[in-house]
Amino acid sequence: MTSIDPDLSIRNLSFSYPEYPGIAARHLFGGLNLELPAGSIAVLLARPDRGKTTLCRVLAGLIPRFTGGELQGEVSLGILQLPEKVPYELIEQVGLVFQHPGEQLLASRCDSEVAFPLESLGVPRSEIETRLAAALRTMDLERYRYKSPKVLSGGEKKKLLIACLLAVDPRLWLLDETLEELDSGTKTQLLQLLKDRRRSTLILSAKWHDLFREYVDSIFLMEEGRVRAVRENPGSPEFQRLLLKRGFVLPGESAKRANGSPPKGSSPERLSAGKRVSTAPAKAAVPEDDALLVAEDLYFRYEDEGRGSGPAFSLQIGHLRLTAGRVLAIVGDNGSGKSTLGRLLCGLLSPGAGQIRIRRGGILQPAGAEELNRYTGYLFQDPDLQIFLPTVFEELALGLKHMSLTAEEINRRVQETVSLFGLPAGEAPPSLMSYGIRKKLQAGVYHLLERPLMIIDEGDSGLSVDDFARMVHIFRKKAGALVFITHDHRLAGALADEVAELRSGRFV
Amino acid sequence: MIAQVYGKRGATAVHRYDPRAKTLLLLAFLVLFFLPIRVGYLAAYLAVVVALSWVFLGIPNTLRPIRLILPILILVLLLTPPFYREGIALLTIRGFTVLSVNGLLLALRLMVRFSGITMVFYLFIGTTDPDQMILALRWFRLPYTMSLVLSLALGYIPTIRTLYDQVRDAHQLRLAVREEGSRAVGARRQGRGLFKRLREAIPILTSVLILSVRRIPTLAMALECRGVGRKNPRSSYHTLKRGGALLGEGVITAAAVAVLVISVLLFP
Repeated sequence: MTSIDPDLSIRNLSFSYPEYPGIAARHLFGGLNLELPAGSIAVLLARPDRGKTTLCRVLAGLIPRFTGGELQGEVSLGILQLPEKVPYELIEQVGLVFQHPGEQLLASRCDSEVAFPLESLGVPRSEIETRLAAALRTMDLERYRYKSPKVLSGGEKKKLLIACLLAVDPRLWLLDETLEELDSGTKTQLLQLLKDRRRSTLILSAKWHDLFREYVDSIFLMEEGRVRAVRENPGSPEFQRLLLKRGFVLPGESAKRANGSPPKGSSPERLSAGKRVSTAPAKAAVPEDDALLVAEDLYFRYEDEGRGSGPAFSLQIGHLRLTAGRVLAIVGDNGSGKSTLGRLLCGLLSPGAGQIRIRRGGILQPAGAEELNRYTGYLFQDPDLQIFLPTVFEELALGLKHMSLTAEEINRRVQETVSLFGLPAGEAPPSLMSYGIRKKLQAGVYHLLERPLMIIDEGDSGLSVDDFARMVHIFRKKAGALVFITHDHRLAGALADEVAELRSGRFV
Repeated sequence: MIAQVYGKRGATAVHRYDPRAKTLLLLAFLVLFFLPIRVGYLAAYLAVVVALSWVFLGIPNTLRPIRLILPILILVLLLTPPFYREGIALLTIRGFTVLSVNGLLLALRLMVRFSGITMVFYLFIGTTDPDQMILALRWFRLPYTMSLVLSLALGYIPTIRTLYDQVRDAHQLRLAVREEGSRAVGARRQGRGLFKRLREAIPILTSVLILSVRRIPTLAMALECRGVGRKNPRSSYHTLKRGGALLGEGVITAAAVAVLVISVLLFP
């Protein structure tokens, strides 16, 4: 994978985070080498907590500038020595999309967000106007031009950040799990765009996407602080075995790919591994004996945020039934209403019309917001909104303290959960944990709450597929019914009993 | 709170009003509310600001900031008089003056001042796009970094509000404690005691504080990734008003400031 004239060259990189009170210095890389030829697209696969985000931030000049720590080795982009530069001097050279889009959005309007770096570069106003219009058009965000980024869905926020990079068009693109939370159309469009523009691109991912096979020039694995180039042909059984072994694909998926199932142009139905794509099951046709939750004629629209210049977004669900012991996956494009439906089912939003019934005392009864809050566990897309306390133990124990349990029982349950989800020791501070581990902690918190219905909103983002499959397995055993929201049709098909697709707020 | 007024940008004359003129009016009113003039006159100026808000932003948007600061106003009213007992005693318990005229007047002054400051910020800053605010501050020759910091600080108010809503939702689910209604059409709002609501808000506010502090380094990273700190001259996508419209608003602003100065001189 070594090239004669690499654009990005990393040699003998090592990095250790500094010591914090009570926490030893964490050595993340040691002798890391990577070369990326000019204009090529590479994917770097690594399991959560292996240092993907840290590597991106080192390349963008953010680490150790903002975190401290010890960095050694050589990192060059062409003739530029990156560690000698500060991030604001690099914006035309290196563009980074953060894993967590909410952390990177600054402006009060989408157009201002895209214009911000161009203003910093001193680009004339007329050219800013041209570039931002083109970037928003490319990412299909024109209708949000004058809206606040806050009204966008998680995937749309990532699209906006990509639009920012498109407008600046840096030489090196660093996409930190950017393909997660994007719908398949946008993923393809982005990769095609990068290929057409011949931009050096490093995609960091905890998951193998079939699209990589078509668009990516080189594949790297990051393990134990080092990077190694994958020499196996991506279509070969050896490569599939490697992905499977490292947890980047699920067993069923791997077998299918090895047998040559087509990744491109496959409909969600075909990708769903033989699972039925639910189209709002007819209410008369199904018995309700085993239903835990039934929603009928739900209607919801946002009050005044006006997510676009077109008609206000609304969600309309004719009939939805969640059954004990079953797993439903909800798929759909960015902004199709998946999270809105999740928030309605757990009572965080109240429907403008329609009814939600839950099983209590053996019969289905209408439920208000408070009942739904107690009945449903909902893992937010952003784990940081559900994690506040200084240690893993305190975070896990908080809900248990409201259950009148003894200290010993709380301790026992917390330890059990730590082990079940593979979390760091109880005294570890969540704020210093990686995004993927924070997601696991978030799942552990809700696992302890023992809710009959669990909803996981884009829980696979930031986790390897085997980690996510394990999470689904744990909740399948624990909860009465499980709903997970994802963009990954294949994952939905592999893990769920039923797959439902939302499009523009309606089941299709 | 302010996010909901931003959301209506361009909708009213006060939204469209030039940000430089709004900044001047803001400063004039801030000085006014800190002047040692009679409480009655201060209340009259407050009434003017409330009336302006009422006319331009409507009743719900005018009541929103007042509702938000109401617990603080109640605390000021309850806690100020016992510490300032000079003047004619109005309420005495076992020889101890609990409420005096001076204490009551001071409490009222503080309440009017706090309400006035809140309302003018809400009226003039809450209706100004942060990008326009940066341009206005730069027009007053403030360095870009300082203008950005001020704008980010003011812009963070709606962010905190959003964060508060999200954290409240998270607490609501995790501890099954329901605080208030939602943003849905047809959502019901449940009335409950002020003190119970305040007590329930403490863990949410603590979490919001932790999350806000945790976001400081990532905010700094995000700013530098957008080129904040570069030495080259910065361009601007947004522009300020020019020509006749600016002249008209300038004249109105000058007249308003003159009226305030004259009224203070006439009614000290």
